Amino acid sequence: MSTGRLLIVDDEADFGAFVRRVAQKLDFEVEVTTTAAGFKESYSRFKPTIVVLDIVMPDVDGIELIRWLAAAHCAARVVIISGFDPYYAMAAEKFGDIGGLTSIQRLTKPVSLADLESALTARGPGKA
Amino acid sequence: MPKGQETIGGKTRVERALEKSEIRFRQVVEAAPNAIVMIGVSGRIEMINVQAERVFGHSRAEMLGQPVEMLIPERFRAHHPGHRSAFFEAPQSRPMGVGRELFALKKDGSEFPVEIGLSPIETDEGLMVLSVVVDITDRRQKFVQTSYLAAIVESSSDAIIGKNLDGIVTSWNPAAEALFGHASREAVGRHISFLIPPDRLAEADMILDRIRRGERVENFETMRRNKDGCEIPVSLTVSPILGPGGTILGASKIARDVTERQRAADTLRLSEERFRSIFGAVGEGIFITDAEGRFIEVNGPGAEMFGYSTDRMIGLDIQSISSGMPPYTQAEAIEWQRKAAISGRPQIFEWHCKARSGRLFWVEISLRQASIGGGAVGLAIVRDISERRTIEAQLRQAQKMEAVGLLTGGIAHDFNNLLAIIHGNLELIRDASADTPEVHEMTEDALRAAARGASLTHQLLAYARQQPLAPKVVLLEQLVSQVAQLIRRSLGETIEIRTVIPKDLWATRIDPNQLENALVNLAVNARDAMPDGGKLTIEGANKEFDADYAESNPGVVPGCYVQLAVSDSGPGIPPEIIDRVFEPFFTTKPLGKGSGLGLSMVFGFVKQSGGHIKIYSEAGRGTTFNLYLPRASEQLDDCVAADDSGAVRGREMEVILVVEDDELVRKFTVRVLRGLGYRIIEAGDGHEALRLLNEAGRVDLLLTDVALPKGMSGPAIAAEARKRRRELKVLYMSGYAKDAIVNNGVLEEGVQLLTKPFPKTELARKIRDMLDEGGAA
Repeated sequence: MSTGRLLIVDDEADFGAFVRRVAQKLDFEVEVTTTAAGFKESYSRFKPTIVVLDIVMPDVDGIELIRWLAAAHCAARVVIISGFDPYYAMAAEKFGDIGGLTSIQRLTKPVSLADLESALTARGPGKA
Repeated sequence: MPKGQETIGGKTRVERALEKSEIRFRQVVEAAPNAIVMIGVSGRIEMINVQAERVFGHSRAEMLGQPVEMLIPERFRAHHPGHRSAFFEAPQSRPMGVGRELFALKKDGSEFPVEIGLSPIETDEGLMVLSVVVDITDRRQKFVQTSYLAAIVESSSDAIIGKNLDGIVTSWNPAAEALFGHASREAVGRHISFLIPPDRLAEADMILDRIRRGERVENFETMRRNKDGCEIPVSLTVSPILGPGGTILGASKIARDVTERQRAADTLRLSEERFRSIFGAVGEGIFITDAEGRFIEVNGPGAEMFGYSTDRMIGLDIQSISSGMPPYTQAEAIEWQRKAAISGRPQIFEWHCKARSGRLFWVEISLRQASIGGGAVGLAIVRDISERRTIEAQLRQAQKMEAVGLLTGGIAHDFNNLLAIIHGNLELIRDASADTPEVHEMTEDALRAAARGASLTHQLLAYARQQPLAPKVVLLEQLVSQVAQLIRRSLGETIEIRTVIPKDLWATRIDPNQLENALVNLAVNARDAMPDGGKLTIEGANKEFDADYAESNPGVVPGCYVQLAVSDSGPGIPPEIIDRVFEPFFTTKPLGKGSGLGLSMVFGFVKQSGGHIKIYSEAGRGTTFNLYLPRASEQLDDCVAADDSGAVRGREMEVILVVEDDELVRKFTVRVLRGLGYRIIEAGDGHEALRLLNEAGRVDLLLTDVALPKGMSGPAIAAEARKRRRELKVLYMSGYAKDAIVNNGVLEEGVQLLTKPFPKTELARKIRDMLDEGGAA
């Protein structure tokens, strides 16, 4: 049995691949997408237990995705990975809180392997 | 011989009586003043007198017995016998040829006008006609002359009035009628005073007195009254009329109406006055130049701009007020003048100028060709734009920093994303390569490099104002003392560190960790500026910036700030690079020694925190970085600029001498102080200040910059000034924090100092306090 189902959305496919590697070593089932549409499709079908998303992407507004997740009563844990611009991440976090997302974690790029591993395996209300 | 007639000497008495009568007649004829010619019925000349000989030029012998026609011009001869016959038929005394002009003929063939009186005379030789011939050449000439004169008087457009010595009008021409409205018959016979306004009656006597003395009154401008009682401006010329023997009979007066002339003169004067007042009142400088670029006219503001009086400015040329740095030369100026002439449109350009004092500054010139009195001149409107240019340059610099920040931020984000991939995968490789030490080691090296890259992007983002900040309300006293401890350890013994944080320093809202970082950065920068040791001062102060200040400092928002001044005693930053020190990657340090991001980070951090930063630096005197951090809003209630402007205003006659070489600061200061009601004398350096101090009457306070050019510092001016005026109060201004400057031995303890930049209210209050204190400060 897998540790859980991880859905990653990041416009940097290589970063998504890196997270996939780390997650697979931790026995996650992993799907990676680089677009908002792909993310929504995958979310509905794959039903992830944990979502990793980049908040600043050129063609996708991470905050929109957070709101979408909230509207969908997402029960998965959410890990927001952002660059150095803190306001987006903080705003996203706020939106998530308001929308009822129960577990949000914030990581800043570049992410150390240890931090990423602990974020993925952290115990939270999301179904493991 | 008739009977009874007595004879004497063979002649009767009657004969003798006749003879006597005959002789007397001849004597009368001979003595007559006019030519007399006696002609018989036959038309021959029977008798003539001496005058006839003189008038006709013939001798008696030539005329006697000859037909009288010899004395008549050829063209009249044919008619003459008829006239003569008519006379003899009805002989009676009468003038000849009534209604005709008569001419007589001289021996030399010339004609002359004559009047001839004819009288019949009964002689023993029968009826004869006695012609009295008067040569009227002179009379005719005089008549013609008089007629001409009369015609001239009649047709003159000037009023010509004759009067006698009693002032009674004797003649009055049509122009006099037209001018004064009185007909000739109304005027002649009246005393001249009827033309004179009551308040000028004395003039009549004055003029008549002069006429009696034989003097002439020329172009006497006065007022006269016309028939309607209106006063008319006239110019009078009055000459005596001389009778025979030079006696003065009266006066001829020519009165010319000068209403039009006066109106034209008034209009001209008004127009000239209007021009002068506008010329002088315009705030911009106005210069009128000739074709060679010489000034032929300049207004007050124009001359003042260059430090000349208007008189001294006239005659100078563009060359003498230009910096001379190409292209700001005479030739170029002439070229602009030519362009203006050809295009007919104003040419607007900027010009680099040199004032009389040698100060260089920028003006904007709007030059067009104008015409004055038919000659082409250059008309230049000149505006001092130094202030504008400085603010523009500051704005450009601010915009550049902004743009570079945005660019940097974008690039840093991209790099960061790449670093995230590199760093993450390197960590995976490191974990996977535990068995192959060589790969493991290489991976560790690569990871370290990636970490350094991450740190660099962090700095870039800090400059781009995109680093995560966690602002808190911070009291600086503790924070600064902690930082001081930290840097004391790291900077070493050679650098003396001093901190001055006043007890009443406002709290600021800032990310304390980043502020520590910023202070460390500035300290490191200071250490690098003082390799042989020196002094580092961190000083706090409360500052308030008003809208005026914000206006001349782009990017500054008015409000309350906590100032942290970090000063070193190093060599200072050269002015040409001072604006660039905050630019990312700008460094004066050797390659590899500094990232060029330290100051950029400080700049970005302060900006991101809602504050701003200023540098003051002068060669040899070190550098001060002034950080203005926003006052914590939690206590903003206390920070309200108290409107006590009434209490801090200047009193009448209080005079302040302002000495400051930075034109922008001087202008700001002078504007504020004038606005407060002080009288201001301003100088750009110490020598000028002392000269003005000698010339000035009263000076209450000397407000001077500490560091000044031309080898005379503020304290030197103060010392010199105090020698002349013991009571003079002195207030220093400096871009350096007070302690830094006192520490460095520039100023003595206890002096009064304003740290630049200072808001209006602080300046006003400080000066008022000093002036209200007794004795010298």
